[in-house]
Amino acid sequence: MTGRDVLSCAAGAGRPDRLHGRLLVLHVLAVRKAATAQSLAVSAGLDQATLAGALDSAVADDLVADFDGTFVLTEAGEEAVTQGLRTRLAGMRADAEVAALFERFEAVNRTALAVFTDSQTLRIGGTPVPNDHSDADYDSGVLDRLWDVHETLERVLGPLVERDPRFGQYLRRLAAALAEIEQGRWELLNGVREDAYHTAWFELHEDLLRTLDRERRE
Amino acid sequence: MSGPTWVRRLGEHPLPPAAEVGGKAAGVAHMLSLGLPVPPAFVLTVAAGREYLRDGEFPETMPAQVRAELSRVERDLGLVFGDHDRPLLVSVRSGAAVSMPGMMDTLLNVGINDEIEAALAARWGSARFARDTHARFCRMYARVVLGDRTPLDHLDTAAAVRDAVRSSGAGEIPTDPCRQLWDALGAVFESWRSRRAVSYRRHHGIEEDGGTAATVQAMVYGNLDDRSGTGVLFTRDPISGRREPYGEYLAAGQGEDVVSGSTDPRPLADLAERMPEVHAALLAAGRRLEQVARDAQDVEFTVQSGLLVLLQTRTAKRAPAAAIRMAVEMAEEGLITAEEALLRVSPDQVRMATRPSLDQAVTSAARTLRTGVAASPGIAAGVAVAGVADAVERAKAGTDVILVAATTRPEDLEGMLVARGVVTELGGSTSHAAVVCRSLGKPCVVGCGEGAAESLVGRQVTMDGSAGVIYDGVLPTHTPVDTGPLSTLVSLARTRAAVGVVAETPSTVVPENVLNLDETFPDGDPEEIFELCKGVECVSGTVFGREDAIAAAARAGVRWVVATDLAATWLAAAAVTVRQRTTRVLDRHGGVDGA
Repeated sequence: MTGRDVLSCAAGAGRPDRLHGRLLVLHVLAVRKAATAQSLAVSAGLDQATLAGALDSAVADDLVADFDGTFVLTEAGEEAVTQGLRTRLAGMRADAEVAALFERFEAVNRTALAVFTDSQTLRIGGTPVPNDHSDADYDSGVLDRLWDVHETLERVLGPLVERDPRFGQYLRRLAAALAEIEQGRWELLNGVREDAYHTAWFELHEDLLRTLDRERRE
Repeated sequence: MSGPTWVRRLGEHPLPPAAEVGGKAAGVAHMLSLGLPVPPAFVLTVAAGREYLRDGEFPETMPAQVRAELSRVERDLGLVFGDHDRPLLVSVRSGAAVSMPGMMDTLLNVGINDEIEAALAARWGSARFARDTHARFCRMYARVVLGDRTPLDHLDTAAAVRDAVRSSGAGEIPTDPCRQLWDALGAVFESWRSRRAVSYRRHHGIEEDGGTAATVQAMVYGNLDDRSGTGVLFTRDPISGRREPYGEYLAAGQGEDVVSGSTDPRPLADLAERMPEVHAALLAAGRRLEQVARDAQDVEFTVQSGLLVLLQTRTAKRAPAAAIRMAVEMAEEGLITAEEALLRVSPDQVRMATRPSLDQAVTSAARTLRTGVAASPGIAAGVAVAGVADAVERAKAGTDVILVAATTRPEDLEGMLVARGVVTELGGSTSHAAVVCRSLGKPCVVGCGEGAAESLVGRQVTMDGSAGVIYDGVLPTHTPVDTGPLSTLVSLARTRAAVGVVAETPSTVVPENVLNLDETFPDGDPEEIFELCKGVECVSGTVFGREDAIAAAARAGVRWVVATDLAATWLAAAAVTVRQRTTRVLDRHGGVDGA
């Protein structure tokens, strides 16, 4: 029996770090700030019916407000998710292995932000110029570095996916965006669309910060 | 026994096609054939790489062929690979016909170990140089061949790198020069099958059974002494486009130092001061390469103890304004035709170059409210508004707004979309606001400090995303339309344009013959546009910023396009004609292959 199994038994639950049910939905909504039911289902990795059930009960309890199909947490909802995570994730937040994984994420995050920026701006004789994607060598170099980032993230996130499969949703979204970017659709890297690499990355970062109760460094 | 030839010497006629030896080797061969100073080199062909991948080992006849070419390089230079007295070191680089991610990076200084480091130190009288060269090899080998991703750049001796790589578990860096060379060549060939290269080819429909070539070239040492260095020459200024050499030089640096930006290089004038004769030879080589390529070049070079060698040349990247000036001046010089000049500039580059700016007289008289980090270029003016809901509401009412926030997040996108520009209190040039605004082409200033929102909200402001400044009030902007080279380019375009470009519908056109696609069809494909434009005399809509849309309209008989960015649209309209002519000429001659 490994050390973690012993811990799991002691906690009396199969997967102590895993969020599910209403708390999972509230947490994902806290990460997203405002979202439709459909995109929440993707972020939470739930089917529409399960999500709708959790959402309805949260709305009935005034934890979530519904603005024409866009959901946001109420103050009571914010409080509920903060309390819920504090209880549920106490073990994970005190775990040195998780803390080390988070530091590795912060490191690859810095590289990722630099790659996002370099995909948009290149230096010509030291002067920044918007990248018009006419230089295949340059773009292929950026893509190579994006792959480095992606593969590092896979290694960092692997142990967290074991603890809670919701982290796997980020890897799936990022991999789907990467496949599009590879085909030259650079608009799938930076930000504007919900399915963009940067959007999923930003949410993952936010999720980790909330999961581990940390402050954003930039 | 002759058998297949896996290895080709570079610099001999006929020049090898890029499909056979990869783009980089083709470039080296091209420079050698012009008689320019280039270190001797040979290439293991794409066919050799393919053979290696098929069998998982080097073809039987390949080692002897590599040995023979290596011996020739040794004779040329009076050096010997692996020798403890006069050692030859080489670089190994990959070269597929198309550039794609996942291919192995350049590996420098192959063929070195402790004994050879000592030999280099004795031969060149510099222990520092020899140690630096050995450490560089170990760092690059660890990263490129062993795939070690731990930071090694701070380790400046080979022993320190070897220890670090051993403890990270990445593997062992070989000390036998031949092992180093063959492992590097194997790694180049294998990189064709790296996960990212396979994925890239699948997404681009590139054949799996291709392969990559591997170029082996004698090393030159820009890190040898104070009469050595490395740099980049642009044959024309890539910012202004003027026909003045421009570049960077790093004394006592090697290979990738300048390209990677890891150290601060000096302007090329530094080389002119240190070694005027080398500087003159470099400019002469640049002129020759530009003449042959018929376009501005950027040339990577190294100086070893006062001797110039060229490593690579390619079409120079350039800023939008430079693209315009270069195209016009190269046409005036007779280097290219007017038609070619029109295709050398994209309508997007014209749009960028004609973006409004603030005159210095205006900014020096204006009151600066806040400064921050310039995160996305451009000028915007409007009333500063905090909060997405407020921004959306006021923009709907027709007000120009500047969104001001502590930071932005994905759900703020709607506010960013309606704003003319975005200002944040926190974060740097990689923050969410910066990344998204660059993607949207919107001015952005970030990191203006806490309290910025409070001090700005409700005021009319002008922001300069290129300078990182927010000014009080709405300032007049200056649009560099139709001056200098741009006016020449536009007049070249006007005489060839497929349709006329106007700011307003001509009074001679009756309303029934006018079509605006913005309301009905803002994003159509060319066939649909062609159908819609039949019988129409004058069209408008943002879709006509696209060349294929103008081509479709012209084909349908449209005579006028109404546009706001006249210069860019004239250029797109001229490009339609020039491309059609080129296609017709090629058709008449049976295409490129049959010519």
